[in-house]
Amino acid sequence: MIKITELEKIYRTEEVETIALNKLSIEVKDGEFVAVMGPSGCGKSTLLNILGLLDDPDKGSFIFNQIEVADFNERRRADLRKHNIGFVFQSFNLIDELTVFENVELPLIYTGVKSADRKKRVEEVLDKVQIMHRRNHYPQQLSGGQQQRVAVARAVVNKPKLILADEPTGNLDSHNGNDVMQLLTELNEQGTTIVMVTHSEHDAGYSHRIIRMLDGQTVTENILV
Amino acid sequence: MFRNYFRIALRNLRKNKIFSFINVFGLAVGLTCCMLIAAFLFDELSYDKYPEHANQIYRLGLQVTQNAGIADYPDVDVAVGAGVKNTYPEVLASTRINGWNDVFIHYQEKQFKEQHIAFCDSNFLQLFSIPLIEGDDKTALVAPNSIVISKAFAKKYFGDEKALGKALTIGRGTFKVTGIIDKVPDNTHFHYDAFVSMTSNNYAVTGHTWSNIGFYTYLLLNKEADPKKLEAKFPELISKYVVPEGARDMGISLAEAQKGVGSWHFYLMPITDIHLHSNTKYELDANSDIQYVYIFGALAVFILLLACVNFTNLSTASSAKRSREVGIRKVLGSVKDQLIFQFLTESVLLTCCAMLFALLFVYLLLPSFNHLSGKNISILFFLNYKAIIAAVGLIFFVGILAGIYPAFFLSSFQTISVLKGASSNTPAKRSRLRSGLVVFQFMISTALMIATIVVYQQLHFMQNKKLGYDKEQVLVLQDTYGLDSNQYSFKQKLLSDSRVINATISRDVPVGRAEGNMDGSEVYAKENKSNESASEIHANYFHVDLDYISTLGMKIIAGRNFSKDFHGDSTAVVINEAAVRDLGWKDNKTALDKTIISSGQHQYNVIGVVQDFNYASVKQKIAPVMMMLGRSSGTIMVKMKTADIPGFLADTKKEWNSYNARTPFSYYFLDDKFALLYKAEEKTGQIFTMFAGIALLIASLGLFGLVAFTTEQRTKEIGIRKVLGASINQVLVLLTKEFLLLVCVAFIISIPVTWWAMHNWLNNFAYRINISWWIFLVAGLLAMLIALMAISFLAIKAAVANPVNSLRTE
Repeated sequence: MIKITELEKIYRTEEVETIALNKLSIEVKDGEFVAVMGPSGCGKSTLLNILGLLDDPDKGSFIFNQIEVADFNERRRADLRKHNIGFVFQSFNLIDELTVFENVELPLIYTGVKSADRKKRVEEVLDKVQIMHRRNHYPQQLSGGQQQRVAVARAVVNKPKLILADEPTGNLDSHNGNDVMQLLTELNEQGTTIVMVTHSEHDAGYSHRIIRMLDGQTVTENILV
Repeated sequence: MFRNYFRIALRNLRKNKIFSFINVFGLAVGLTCCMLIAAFLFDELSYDKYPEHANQIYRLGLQVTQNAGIADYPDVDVAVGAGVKNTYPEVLASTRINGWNDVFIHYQEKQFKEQHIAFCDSNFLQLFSIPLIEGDDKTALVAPNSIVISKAFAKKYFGDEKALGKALTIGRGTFKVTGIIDKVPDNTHFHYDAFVSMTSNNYAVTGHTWSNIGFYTYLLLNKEADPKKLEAKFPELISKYVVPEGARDMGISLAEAQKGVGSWHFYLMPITDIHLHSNTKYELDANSDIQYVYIFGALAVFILLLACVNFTNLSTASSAKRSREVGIRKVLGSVKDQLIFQFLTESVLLTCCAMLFALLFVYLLLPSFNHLSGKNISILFFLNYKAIIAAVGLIFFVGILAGIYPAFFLSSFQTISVLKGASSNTPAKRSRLRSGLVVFQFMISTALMIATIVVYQQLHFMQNKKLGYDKEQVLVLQDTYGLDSNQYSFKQKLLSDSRVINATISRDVPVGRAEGNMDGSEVYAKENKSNESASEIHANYFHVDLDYISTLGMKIIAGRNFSKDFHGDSTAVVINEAAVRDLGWKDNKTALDKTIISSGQHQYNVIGVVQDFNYASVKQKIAPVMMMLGRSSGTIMVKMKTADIPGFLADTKKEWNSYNARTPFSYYFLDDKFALLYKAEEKTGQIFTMFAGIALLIASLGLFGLVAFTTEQRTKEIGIRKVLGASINQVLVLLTKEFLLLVCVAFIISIPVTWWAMHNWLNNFAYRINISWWIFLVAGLLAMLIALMAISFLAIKAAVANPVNSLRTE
């Protein structure tokens, strides 16, 4: 699914040069559930952004689904992203002005799914995350756990091959956090590849493999399964 | 997709109420102004375009170059039209019209004084495509003593009776109604309610002269004809017709006459240009000026721009609120183009809402607007398909104009940083563009305010200028020639009333003399006889009686007034200071006992000099005046002293009626007539006030909105500063300093621009104010004050807020 080789990303301001990724090489197979851990500033988020095609690397190769994407332009990246990748964020990032239903519907709109089809698929996935009864509520009217379930629903409604999760339980209590992890595990069992950045050893425990990073490089990999 | 944009746009509108209100209201006001002015401009530009062959019809005019400049006449002599038509085959038709003013028309018991009737040739109405709804287009105005009247005119005299075929008495003649028109279109350069056949005017039939004026003459050229080429041929007509006439009339040789008319020039003006480009003293109707079209057009665009600026400013200022949405949409696969499209959809939608309000405003304001502009625009003007298409076009134009910058700005947010929530906490970026736009808004507002003050100051100056006579409590009785020889006994009767201080019989009133009499007659001082063409001046004759000067409180500053004790006073004149100066005498004393010769070779003896008085608008310099004892009269002016004016009027009317006058009792007050002189300037003042107010309102709303967002964004900063010991005043200064600085800059930029523009405007007036520095200061302070009010409301709220609350929200 993912193969990155000697990837480099450097952030420059006028005075400071920060090496976020330093010749990083990682491979993730189809159907894997990988956790990425490391202290703040180790490059986890940069890695996730590049994997999510939100940012491009300065150097190195990034093969996604057997295609070299390191030099894709914005339009091609957006196109590949909307069909293949779902995102779950620590701060949920739901649009406040849209209802639960409309938030989840949004990716389908961008991939051009017909209205009737959209309704069916959104309801299906809302059912799956058990938030159907809240479909007409706005995000502010939901608890954090409920909001994250909506975010997960939105991430999977397009049936992506890859889900990228950035500390998905960071803003949740342990009970709600476990629910979300459970949900991700189920998705993984149904075949979705998951890459999750986390600080929590407990959450990392749900994954098959933990990649530990420091200063833009991998230091160790623990295979759990 | 579209539905989704639509939905989120509506919800954002609902959520940010201040933002939405400022934008929708501001844009609605801008659009309202724009639409009303557009309607006004369309009307102005539509003048005289309705005749079927409008593009082929030209008015024949005459320009004469003189010492004093070019005299421009929109009319020519009786025979010119037919002469031109018979000489040049490219002229398909010619037609003439001339006004017949101040006539009394009777039908049975009904009698009215009519100002709007005219003689015209039988083909006139056809050429101007004014159809008869009753009667025969071709023959109605052929026979002498025929009259074609408008529907309203018919109603006035005949009520519901059938008008066609009835007879009206005009003066001593009887005229048969041979046709009815609906009415002359509003957008025409002439407005008559009745047209009398030209054949009724004896002179028009038998006259064959070329060197006078008085007949407004129109030519229909064939499609291929080039008016410039035709014009170039006119000098040969002058040699052929005008020169021999001049030689005969003045008893000079042909060569001399040819020299004399060397400066004559017949010219053609397309009728479609008349309303906006012709501004001679003798127009059939007061025309407008293309300058106003430009000024109003510019004002409409400016007001609309101001409203667009609010949208741009508020959208970019509040961008932080939308940044997360942009980020999420990008993550979910939206590309920049789609986001730009989304934001443009939003601004177009907002403009759409504004348009709905604007239409409501237009509907409500149209009557006052018509009143102000003197137009008669119907709401239907805004409902025809062309106007609707234009309105939709306007929605898109304004929506895109206002939204294009915010759309690019918002859609270019970096996905990652906004999703990390970074940008919502960063301090408000001071956008140079936003500052520039605020400066622009306040510059326009301040400039309009300065202009308003200048206009009103000039108006006040004109209305209060020492006139050289006393206009208060002067009753003017019109058409007193109807009393015939009883005029004098009527005057005596009035003088015996204790409420009357004085009374005078004259032809001329000192306010707004009939425009036709304004050019004066050519006169020169006797000692310059050898050199008359160089020393000739134009003087206005005032036909007065012995009491004219005393009744009006004018002042003799040299010599004496007319007196019944002097027998020679029938050839005596009292002249004004301007006449003394222009005739070349070194002071008022010198002028006494001198002789003035008029073009008709009459000689007048100067017996006195009257102080200059303003007898026209102060726009014009006071021109030379020669007062002489009345050869013609028709007006009695009565200086009253009474608090009970209605009572006095009633008594005077009773008295009048007892004399069995041929004319009805009609009157006005001198000071009312005076007020009319400055109606145009008063309107200009009102219009400027309105626009200045609107501009300032929109700009202040925008400023209010901007402050709302900055204070919101700086809540935390303010909290921290207060915790660290900042006083409320220090916080206030922090929040207002920047905006006030912008208003200051706007003010400074507006000074030279307005000074220049208003200086030009004032050049239209012979007597004018100087633009003093305090006008700028007042306008600047006013702008500042209003800006401060807009700013301080929210700034104070933010400054006094308890920092505990603002910090806890983090």
